[in-house]
Amino acid sequence: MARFLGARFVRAIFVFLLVSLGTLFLIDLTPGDPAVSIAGETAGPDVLAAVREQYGFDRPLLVRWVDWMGSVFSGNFGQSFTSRMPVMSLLADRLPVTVELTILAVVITLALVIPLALYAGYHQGSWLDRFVNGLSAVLISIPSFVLALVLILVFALALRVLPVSGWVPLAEDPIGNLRSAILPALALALAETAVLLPVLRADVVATLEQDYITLARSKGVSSARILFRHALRPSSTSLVTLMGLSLARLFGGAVIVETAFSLPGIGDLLITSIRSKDLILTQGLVMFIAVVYLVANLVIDILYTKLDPRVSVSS
Amino acid sequence: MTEQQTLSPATPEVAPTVAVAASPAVRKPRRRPSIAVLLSLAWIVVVLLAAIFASLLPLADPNANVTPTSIPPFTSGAEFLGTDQLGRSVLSRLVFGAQVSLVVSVSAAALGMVIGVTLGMMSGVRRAADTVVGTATDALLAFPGIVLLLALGAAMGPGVRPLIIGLTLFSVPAFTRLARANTKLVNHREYVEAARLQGASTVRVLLREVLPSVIRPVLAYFVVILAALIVAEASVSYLGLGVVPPTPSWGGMIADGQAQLIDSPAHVLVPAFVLFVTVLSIGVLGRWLRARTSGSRS
Repeated sequence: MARFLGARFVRAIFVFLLVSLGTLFLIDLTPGDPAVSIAGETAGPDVLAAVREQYGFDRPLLVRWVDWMGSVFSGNFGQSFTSRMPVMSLLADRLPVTVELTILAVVITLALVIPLALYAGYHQGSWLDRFVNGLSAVLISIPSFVLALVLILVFALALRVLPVSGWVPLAEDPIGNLRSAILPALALALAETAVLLPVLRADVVATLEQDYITLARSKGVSSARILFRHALRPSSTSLVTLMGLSLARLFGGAVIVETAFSLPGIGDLLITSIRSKDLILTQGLVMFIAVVYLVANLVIDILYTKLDPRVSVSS
Repeated sequence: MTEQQTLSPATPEVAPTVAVAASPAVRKPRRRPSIAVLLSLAWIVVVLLAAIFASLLPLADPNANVTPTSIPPFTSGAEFLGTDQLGRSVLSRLVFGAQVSLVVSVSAAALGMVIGVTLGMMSGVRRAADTVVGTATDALLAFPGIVLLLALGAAMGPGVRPLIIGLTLFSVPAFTRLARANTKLVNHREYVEAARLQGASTVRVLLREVLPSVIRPVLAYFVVILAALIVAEASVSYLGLGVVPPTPSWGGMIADGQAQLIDSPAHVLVPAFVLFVTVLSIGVLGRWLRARTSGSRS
């Protein structure tokens, strides 16, 4: 197990190196002088010289890369050029919204996926199984922003039960906060459910064919107990692996959903940074999102070995 | 089976393509396509023909103001889908939007497939290539698809070129993993080893012996990826950072309509419905193709 995790860790470090090189390159991809793209067309020569000095565009790439990795490790993602604020503090302001949205979406997803998949897998071919199957095929074809707009239309405009957009901070008004978060979280969760539901259902079906399930059943163990105590854990390895990728999707989805509901999260900050051509902020945010993703996947690998000890042996 | 989610073609679970062969549903010999498959095919053919022959069809100029103000759908014979807030023909913008969307996503998926299959087959037979390609793939997957697209758009400016590059990068990892898994599957079969023993070079073995078994699941997967790319393109264009207005795009039309969601939801719902039906149809076709290819593999 230690060897397995060690190999994973080494790989994660190499991936981190590549990711940091990629984000560093983001600035070099801009057409023309990178200093001009950071400072803007109107900047005078002295400003441009200062920008070149600050970001060291005259230094070799390798030196800049080492510098950039060092600053990322120390949590310094640079300074926004438009607001003159460190990227980290801008990010810290917006992070709670996105984190809350993501957690809520994961909770809703699991609350939908686990019982539905267990039931559908247990009653294979029943009307609910077929309905759930069809529903995930339909849900998977609805882009998250369309889902968001449909939810706004139904719950906020037609039924008038929830706010159309905007954000109430948790500390100010917990109920209002939940009301403003529930629709965006639902938009994210439904898209995620469509992906994960068929996966868990297939694994449940496979698990239920195992001998020990037949044994438990012949001993007279109740269906609910078989499903939740005996079948869920061995069936959830794919689910857990995919949850790691989910995080990337949820972050990506959050960018869009936050825009649709005008929520002040990281996604909204990213879009704003791109619209105002604040490249340093864009670069910092992209790097931050990638690092979160890498760390989360490393954690999931550890979880994975706990869930299924065979993983570390076979690899 | 793992259906691909709309915004991330990342697929570590490529095994289903291979494993489905055992499920009883596909073991039946060549089932006739269902109604859903036929309807999907019909819709895709209509969209394709409309997009290809857009400039020959009797449509209004997508950027011309044909009516003084917006008219709702199903009120006028000529513009039966109505006109948008600038009085532009919704039907015409949908058709020309399909053109942009298809050009961008088909070319990106094709590029991604060629690059991905090449890399995947290389890493399927060479350990060193596997390590390098695997690490690079993991690095690409660390950026959520939409963030990757946005970042490229931010650096290179909006437009079709960064979109194609971004969508290609977005599709490469999935093709790479699929090609790698299928290469590993056949790499040590007798006929491949036989070719190798006869002294064929690695490139020749890969092209002549391995590629034919790799290409079938990959082609079926192409369709699934295409749906994901269309959604991704629509999403970035919805955010206003993809296709540059006034060039019509489905995502852009939905974003334009969102301002009057209360007064005239049709401006959002009509393009959203077209986008949804297109993605759904491609998904249905893709699943059907995948079931067929994996069913007849063994």
